[in-house]
Amino acid sequence: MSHRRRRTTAPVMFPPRSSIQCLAPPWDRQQTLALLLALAAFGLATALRAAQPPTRQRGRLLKTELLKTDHEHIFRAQIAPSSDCMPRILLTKYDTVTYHEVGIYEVLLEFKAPDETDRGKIVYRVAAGETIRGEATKRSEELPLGPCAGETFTMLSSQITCDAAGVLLDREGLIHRVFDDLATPGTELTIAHQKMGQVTISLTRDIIARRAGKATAQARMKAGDILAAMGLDFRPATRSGHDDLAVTVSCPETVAPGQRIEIAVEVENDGSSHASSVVARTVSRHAWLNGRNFYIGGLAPGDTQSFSRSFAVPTDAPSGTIFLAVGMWDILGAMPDYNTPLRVSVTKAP
Amino acid sequence: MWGSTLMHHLPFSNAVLAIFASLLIFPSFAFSQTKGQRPAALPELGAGTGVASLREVKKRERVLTIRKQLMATQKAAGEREQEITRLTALVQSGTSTRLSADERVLRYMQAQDAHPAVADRLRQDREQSLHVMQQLKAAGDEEYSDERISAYIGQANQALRRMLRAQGEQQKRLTKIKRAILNGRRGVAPPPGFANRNSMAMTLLTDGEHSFYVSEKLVSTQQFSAFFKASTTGKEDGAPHKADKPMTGLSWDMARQFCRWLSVRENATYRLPTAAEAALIGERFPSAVWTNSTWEGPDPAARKVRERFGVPMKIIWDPHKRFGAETTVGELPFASYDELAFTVVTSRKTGRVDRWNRLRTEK
Repeated sequence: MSHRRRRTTAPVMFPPRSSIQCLAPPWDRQQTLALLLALAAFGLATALRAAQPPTRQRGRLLKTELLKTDHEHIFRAQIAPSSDCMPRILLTKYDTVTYHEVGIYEVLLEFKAPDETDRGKIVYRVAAGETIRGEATKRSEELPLGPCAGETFTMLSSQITCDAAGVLLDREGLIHRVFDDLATPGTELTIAHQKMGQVTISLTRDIIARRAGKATAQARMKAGDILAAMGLDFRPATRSGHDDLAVTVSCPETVAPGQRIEIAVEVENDGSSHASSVVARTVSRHAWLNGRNFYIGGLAPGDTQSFSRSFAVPTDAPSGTIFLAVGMWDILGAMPDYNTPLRVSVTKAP
Repeated sequence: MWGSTLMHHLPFSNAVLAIFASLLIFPSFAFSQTKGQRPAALPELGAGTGVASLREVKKRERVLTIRKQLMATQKAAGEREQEITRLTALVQSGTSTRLSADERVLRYMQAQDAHPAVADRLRQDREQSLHVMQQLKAAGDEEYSDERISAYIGQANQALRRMLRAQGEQQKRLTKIKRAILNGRRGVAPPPGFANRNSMAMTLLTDGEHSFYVSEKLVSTQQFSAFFKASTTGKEDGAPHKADKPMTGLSWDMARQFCRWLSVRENATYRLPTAAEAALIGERFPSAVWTNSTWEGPDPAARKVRERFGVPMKIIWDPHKRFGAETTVGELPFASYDELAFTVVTSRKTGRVDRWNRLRTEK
């Protein structure tokens, strides 16, 4: 015989009796009234809490409003490949556009009890027709405008105008003058424009390319090496065959004060071994002639390489003979046998 | 007589006394064997006693020969001592400040001329002494019937050793004398001036301890033309030139070549002045002059770069500042200017040698 009690279902009464009547055993009427009052107070408090106004919050970004647009022209500089002995710098103009914007957001109403932390019990509703303006922001972008054709720049205290391709050609050898000091393997070159501001680029002159290691000429040019940009071979070498070089120096015999002259050094390797890192340099008592480097670089057997530099005869140069020597150096040291003595006559222009 | 002299002067007079004593001890031995009677006195062969006496006679003769050589050596030693004493006195007199420089140099010259002969004779004396020493050693190995001979050999041996020591001392003194002559010559002040074979009058300049000769005038065109003629035709122009106008417009390289040629011609080192010497020369000359010094310049890095490219610059001494604001200018060695001349300098040794040669010629 099972001891389990059979569940019996109580008869459903409709309308059901009130819970108070069901729960209340034989309470008295006063106690029932007090309980009712307490329940009423609790309900009132709950209703009061639910009746607080919702907070307004920023909802989704509806749109971005453009307040104003600023335009500023700037330029960028990079060393350009050069087929002659004059360094070139490519200057490109950019339009820097600055957008002043503000975001428009929908309004989100948040309903929640003051102390409510359960996010599930917080209710959000979008306030229809209402928006919130966000903070003003700036956004910039550079738009290439092409080469700085015909623009005049200041570089190393000289005014130079770019050509139609935006190339700044250093005809006077201003960059070479910086690197004529052999103790200066690198420099920061500042190029300035009256309206477009100034730009600083790093340039190097690595005579034996030690700093660049095994980098290719292209990589060294990108790194700002002027010798690589001029297509000169200054790759590291452990020896140099300089037994059969033919050095020719072209120099005007007569110059006038204020004149700009050009001196060219041509070196031909008549030997059978590769000559490395050949550099020529002027030595003179006169400052305007002294200490100019002529970069020749590596020379394979049979190769010829020339390098020319521009010299400005001072306007106050006295008449007479001035003496100049072009010394030669390679990775092994001085090559006195190839030194070239020169003399130049300074005569007043008629 | 010489024996008494030796007794007074030689440190080995005891040896001499010993020798004289030996002569007194056995005079018959000494002279009986040297009168040419040996063949007659020779005993017959085969007799035992006769053979023995013959050997004894020969041994005695050998000792007598040694004695003569020893006496001759001692006599020579005495002469050498006198010569060395005279040389010492001569060198000593050269240091006297009361004498003129030329007289002092003459004393040194006499001493220097005499020195080799004395040294040579002393060397011969020493060789002779060593020869006698060898003979004495051989004689000492023999046995003598007369013990006095053995005693004499021993005494002579000692005397000879003392004499060899004395000759060693004489050798040292001679070496000192030679050094004193050289030092004494250097101690005499160089002449204030001289004229070389190329008719260049040289003047002594002194700055503290450093002194040198500089040509009184700039190298002239005629002096330079002699060099030019010699270098182009290979023939020397023997006739002395009279100085005329200075040679200008000449490169440092050419000036240096002239100095080399002049050095060979004069058998002395002539060169361009250093920058320090040029500063001492001062404004003596109207033109700027080349110096032998390498231009350093104010920037040491620039000098290193010039070295790196093998292009040195030389200093021009320009006291009249014709080339710039400074008295020294750096210029390339092949440069030449009309305002630039050159002079030559030589060491004080050249002046001393010139005086030496002159005095020798006059002497």
